[in-house]
Amino acid sequence: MVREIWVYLESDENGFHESAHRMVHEARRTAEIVGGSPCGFLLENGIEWSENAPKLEGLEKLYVIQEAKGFSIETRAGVIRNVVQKKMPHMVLFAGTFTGNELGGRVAAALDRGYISDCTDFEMDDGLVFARKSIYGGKADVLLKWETAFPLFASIHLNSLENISVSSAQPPEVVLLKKDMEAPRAKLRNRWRVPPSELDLNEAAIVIGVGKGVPFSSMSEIYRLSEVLEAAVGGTRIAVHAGLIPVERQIGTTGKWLNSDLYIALGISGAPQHMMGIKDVRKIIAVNMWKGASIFQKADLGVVGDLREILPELLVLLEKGKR
Amino acid sequence: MEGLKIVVCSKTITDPDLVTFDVVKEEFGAVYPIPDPMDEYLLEEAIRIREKHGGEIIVLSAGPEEIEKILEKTLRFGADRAIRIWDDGLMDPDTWMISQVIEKGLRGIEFDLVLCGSRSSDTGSGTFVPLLARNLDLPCICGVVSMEFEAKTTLVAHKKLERGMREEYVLAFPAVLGLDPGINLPRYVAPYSKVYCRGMQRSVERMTATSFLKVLEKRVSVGRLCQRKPRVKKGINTSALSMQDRLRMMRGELGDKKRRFQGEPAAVAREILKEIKM
Ligand SMILES: Cc1cc2nc3c(=O)[nH]c(=O)nc-3n(C[C@H](O)[C@H](O)[C@H](O)COP(=O)(O)OP(=O)(O)OC[C@H]3O[C@@H](n4cnc5c(N)ncnc54)[C@H](O)[C@@H]3O)c2cc1C
Ligand SMILES: Nc1ncnc2c1ncn2[C@@H]1O[C@H](COP(=O)(O)O)[C@@H](O)[C@H]1O
Repeated sequence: MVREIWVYLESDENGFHESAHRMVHEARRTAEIVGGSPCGFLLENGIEWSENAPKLEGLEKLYVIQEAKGFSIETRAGVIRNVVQKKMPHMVLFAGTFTGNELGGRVAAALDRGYISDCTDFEMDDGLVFARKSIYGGKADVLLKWETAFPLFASIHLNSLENISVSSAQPPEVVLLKKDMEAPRAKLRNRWRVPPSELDLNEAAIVIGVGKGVPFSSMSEIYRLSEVLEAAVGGTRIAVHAGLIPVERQIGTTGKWLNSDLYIALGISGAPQHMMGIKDVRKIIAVNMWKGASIFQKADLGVVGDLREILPELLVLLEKGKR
Repeated sequence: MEGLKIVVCSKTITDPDLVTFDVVKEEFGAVYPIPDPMDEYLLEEAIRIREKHGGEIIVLSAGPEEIEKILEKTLRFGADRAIRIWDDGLMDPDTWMISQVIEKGLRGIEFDLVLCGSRSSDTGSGTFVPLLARNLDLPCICGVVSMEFEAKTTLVAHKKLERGMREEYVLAFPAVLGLDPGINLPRYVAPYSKVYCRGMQRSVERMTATSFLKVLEKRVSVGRLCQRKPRVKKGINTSALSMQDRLRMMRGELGDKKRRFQGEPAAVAREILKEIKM
């Protein structure tokens, strides 16, 4: 029998989530390390998966759990548990998003299996699969192993996921599955999306960081920028003290830790206590007047210049692009 | 809906700022136990509920004797009771075993709500809530960003999902809740204030979980500790790398092409826009 490596492909009415495409690559990568056949599974919740299925190149099978629209996370976990129990894959992997981490935890708990969240990699040793994970704020890694039977459950840290696609591969074979569900304990009553200005710092895709170098007079431009980019605004402790941003928007050891795709640091020197909060950010753009600022050591794009001059120009460009 | 009994599950962690890792021996140096800073908002939320509806706050923590000093702090910060539960036979328990120890503790007290953190700051398994809820056969909600009580035993909880999505759940308690750190801003309790002094007169209670653990096997065990090694991303041809680049790769720094730019504001703005869109 072929050992199947299953990855969960998260989607909603608007289509696949970014993490889903990355999980396709993760399936292939894990199948290479562990041995097995890369497969994906999804809940049919209103998206046109059949149009998108050809894009899921590199998966050998795509399991579609039919008619699963508008489900609560508890119901989804129940449906996934039943399917996993029936098919018994070798591994079941989730993306390290809020939803992915929780689904994995719920399904593994329901099946009495070990679950390792936020792994950065898998390794083989003596025929056993080990999961690597960073602990103590990144001071060291730990290699963990499952003591329970297959399937092995894990989620992958978002920073480890890669966006690589192979275009030559065959589209996956689609397997339709019927769902099997029980009544949930907690009732889902409402679902909505908050406006970008209300996004929490740890969920925004883009975060604008405000430092001591930002004068009060520039704050209105910064909020305009955050609207165009759908970004959340946070900043340094000094910016909090200066009254530029509220204290719950402080980023760093004594504030929030980000997990965004992009951080735009404006007038921030890059003190270690601040950098700790942005270590998981995938890309950093920094604007600072002083070319020796330590934030430049970590910035993917470092711009030496006066933000009072750069901000208006950037807004003109962005707002022109929007129209 | 009077007098809710709220249990706060609080973890004593190893201070990640102070601990050092010996890469040769592959072990940690001296450890400094601290209360998980991520748990502060659990107690704060419990206090807010008590202020509004009355009731009792019980901090429950699984750990060896050393953590009692840390638990005393929660009494000074406003908890009514603090209980430490442990089984001296436990060696390096995984989250599943901890969830059984806490289950045992909860079976010995009355409660309406159990508040947990979403992820601990040291080992961060992030799996405690579903495990505990399953042990107790209770409903659970993770990522709670706000909550209200609707009727006598009904709770409305708002849950945070990706990128601004929110869900509203209605559930009857008892229930287990995993709170998002953004739910509140913990207050500052001044030393020697009334609350603080009241807490100083109380002491940590003890419970034992001995002979309770149903299954003594772990579900996840530690193979070994090792030096941090971020994933080497695909697309890097390792055989063609220089020694320096190899070292950078081992530190996970390769592939970050750091760019510096200086110029006219308009040119700079274009450069930033390019980077944003990339
Ligand atoms: C125990 C402890 C905990 C702490 N926790 C945190 C924390 O959680 N978060 C945090 O952020 N800090 C924290 N700090 C403070 C931290 O050490 C720094 O003091 C702080 O991060 C610096 O903030 P800043 O970069 O805004 O200010 P500064 O260091 O003053 O930097 C301002 C920068 O702006 C630049 N600049 C000025 N004008 C302009 C302009 N017109 N255009 C472009 N650039 C300009 C300057 O060149 C300078 O680099 C903590 C400190 C301690 C001791
Ligand atoms: N030893 C423990 N005692 C009490 N609560 C714990 C313990 N370990 C974990 N928890 C709870 O579980 C949450 C998540 O922890 P973790 O699963 O380790 O990430 C924590 O924020 C605590 O609320």
